[in-house]
Amino acid sequence: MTHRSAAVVLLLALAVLTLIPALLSAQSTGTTFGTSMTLSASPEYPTPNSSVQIKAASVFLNLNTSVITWYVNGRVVQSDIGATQFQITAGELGSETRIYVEAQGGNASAIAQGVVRPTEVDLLWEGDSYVPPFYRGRALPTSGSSIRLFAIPRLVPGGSSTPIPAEDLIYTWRQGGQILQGASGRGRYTATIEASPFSQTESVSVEVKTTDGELRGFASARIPSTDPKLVLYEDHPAFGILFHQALINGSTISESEASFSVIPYFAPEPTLKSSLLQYAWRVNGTPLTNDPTRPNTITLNAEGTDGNALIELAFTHATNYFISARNSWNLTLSTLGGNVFTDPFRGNQ
Amino acid sequence: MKILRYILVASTVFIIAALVWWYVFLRAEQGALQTIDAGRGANAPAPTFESFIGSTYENIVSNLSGEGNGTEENGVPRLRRITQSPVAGYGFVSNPLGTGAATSSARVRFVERATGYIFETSTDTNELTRITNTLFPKVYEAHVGKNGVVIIRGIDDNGNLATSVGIATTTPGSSSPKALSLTALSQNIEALVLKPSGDTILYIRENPDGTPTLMQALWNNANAKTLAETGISGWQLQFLEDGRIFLVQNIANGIVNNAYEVKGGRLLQSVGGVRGLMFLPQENSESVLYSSEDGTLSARMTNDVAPVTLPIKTTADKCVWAKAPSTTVYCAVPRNALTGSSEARLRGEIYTSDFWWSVEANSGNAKLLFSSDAPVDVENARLTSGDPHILFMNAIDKTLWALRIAE
Repeated sequence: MTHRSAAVVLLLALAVLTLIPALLSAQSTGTTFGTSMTLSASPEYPTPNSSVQIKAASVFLNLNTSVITWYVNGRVVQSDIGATQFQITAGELGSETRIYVEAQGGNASAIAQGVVRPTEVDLLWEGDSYVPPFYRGRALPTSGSSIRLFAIPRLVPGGSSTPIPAEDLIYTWRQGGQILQGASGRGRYTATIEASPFSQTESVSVEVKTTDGELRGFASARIPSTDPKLVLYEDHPAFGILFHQALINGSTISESEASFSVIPYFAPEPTLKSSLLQYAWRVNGTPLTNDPTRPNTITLNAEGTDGNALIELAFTHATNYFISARNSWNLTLSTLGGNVFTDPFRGNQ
Repeated sequence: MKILRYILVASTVFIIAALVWWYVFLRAEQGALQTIDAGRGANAPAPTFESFIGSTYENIVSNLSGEGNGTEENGVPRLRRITQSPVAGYGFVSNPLGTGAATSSARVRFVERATGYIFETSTDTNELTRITNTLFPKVYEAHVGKNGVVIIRGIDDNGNLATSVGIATTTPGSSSPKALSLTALSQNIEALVLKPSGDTILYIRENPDGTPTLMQALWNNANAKTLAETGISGWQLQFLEDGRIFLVQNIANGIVNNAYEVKGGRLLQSVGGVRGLMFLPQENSESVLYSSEDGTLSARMTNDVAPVTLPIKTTADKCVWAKAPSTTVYCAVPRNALTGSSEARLRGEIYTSDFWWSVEANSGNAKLLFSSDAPVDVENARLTSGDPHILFMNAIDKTLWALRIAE
């Protein structure tokens, strides 16, 4: 082979080696770079009529120097160099907003597409703790008590107006970021967890999705844990416990003999007579032994005294050492032997 | 003879002394009896049993004079306290129950807390009539339906909720109060509400596995059926005359809660994400009123319009809607800004002192309706039909009050 022939062969080889990348590059303007651009939404689980920020990202294409064109439901809504973000307003439940993005930079281009399907999930909770009958407030969890969770999802398929039945969805429950395997699964829209004795707040969340993953919803809650709250009421022989009239320091009782019941709101037992609940009463510094069948109630008779009663209560739990509460009430009872009486429903506040 | 005289004198002295002792003894016993009777809460003199109605009637009627404010109409003040004794609940009955022609005034029945006796009055008179004479002590909650159905709720010796139902068909024209026969319902009933007509009840029942369920049944719990799973048991139930059912989560300080309409076995959110939500839908209308724990009051007239913030600060449970299509709301507004926690109010630790406002919910125009010095913390307010009055209970002493809307 002559020197001339060798040079020609070398040139041809160099040309081929140079052209191959160029050819590959030309072929990559279609699907190859199309899958190298991703879209992300914030919030991740958009709710109806909420503002959603869509962001495009690519590891192969410099989007900051690329012309990026945004399509919403087939219509161009934005086209600009470096327009990597776009904001939309999610529709109603059951709506679908189709996003299509094209990026063109130099000899390279990429596409990405996605669908925004708004969903809603309500996460309801209550503590499995004691509240008195007819109390209109929520039972709050205390240390070591259970917390009842209930998810109400509203996942509506595109073009429909009817939510998918809750029992047909898949639920993933988390407590403190950890998946609760035993509580999660298909149709598991309720869950019960234990409130940690070491934390004042429980972080719980639930992700709900259809079996095909097309629709996803999410809800979370920060559930405060509390100590039992001791509130004292008069236990009237005719009217029962006066739940509407809590006794406070300085309250006066018109009778010389009266019964008082303490209500430990949020105690971690279903009934106040549970033997696990311990009531240590003191009146004017003297420990009091009361009826074991009614441990949360005491009866005082002030005849022959000055009528002042300092009632103190230390409330604990026999096995849960994190349950502890104290309170005291300075009351004045009548000393006139019960023949002076006024309506107990005249508020003391 | 002399001895006879001495014996006679001694006997006379002895008899006189014995009579004096007997008099003193009776006085002491009467004092004790007065205490027991006054312990029924009426601050009234001991019963004389002279009236054929009975002592409780006397206790209430004897205290009615001078218990009112505002201009009088037919001798009835514009704002009046109907009862001195605390009541467990009240309701409106058909006017009158199956007899005679209807009148424009509303007939109201209430259940006395200490005795369970049922009384009836009307908005245009100070008269009270006792309907029943069966004693049921310590009634904590009562519901009365237009057909005379009454539901009584208390707490048994074990601390469990006890619910009983009955029907009082006695009319005020009857000669005397009649016995009321009650049937006990099961013990696992949590919240309960009676439809205003009195024919249907709604309640949360705790199942053996601890899960709560919303149930609907006839007033005597016949034909009970499950309406929906509720997941939690802490709900306030609302059962409207138009048949719609709403559940509102029990509130907690600083915690958001939601209100739902029950439809087709599902809970459909009506209002959500409001701290300390109180909720009040209007009968036969899409309009709803709701409030947050700081007293911000909002009205949403239809499902597809944005809510309007009203210029008064109160909670929706202190309000009543006028009859649709009116957009007027009557609200009891605390004189002082709502301070302290919502939970503290529910536990009876704090009260408000309210006066009444009238608000146009669609425009936000508000005007003072009535103001008095009477300390009332309004709860459980309802509007009569026809001759418009607002009936409500005073949370301070659980007495029943009536306010005539027209001056």
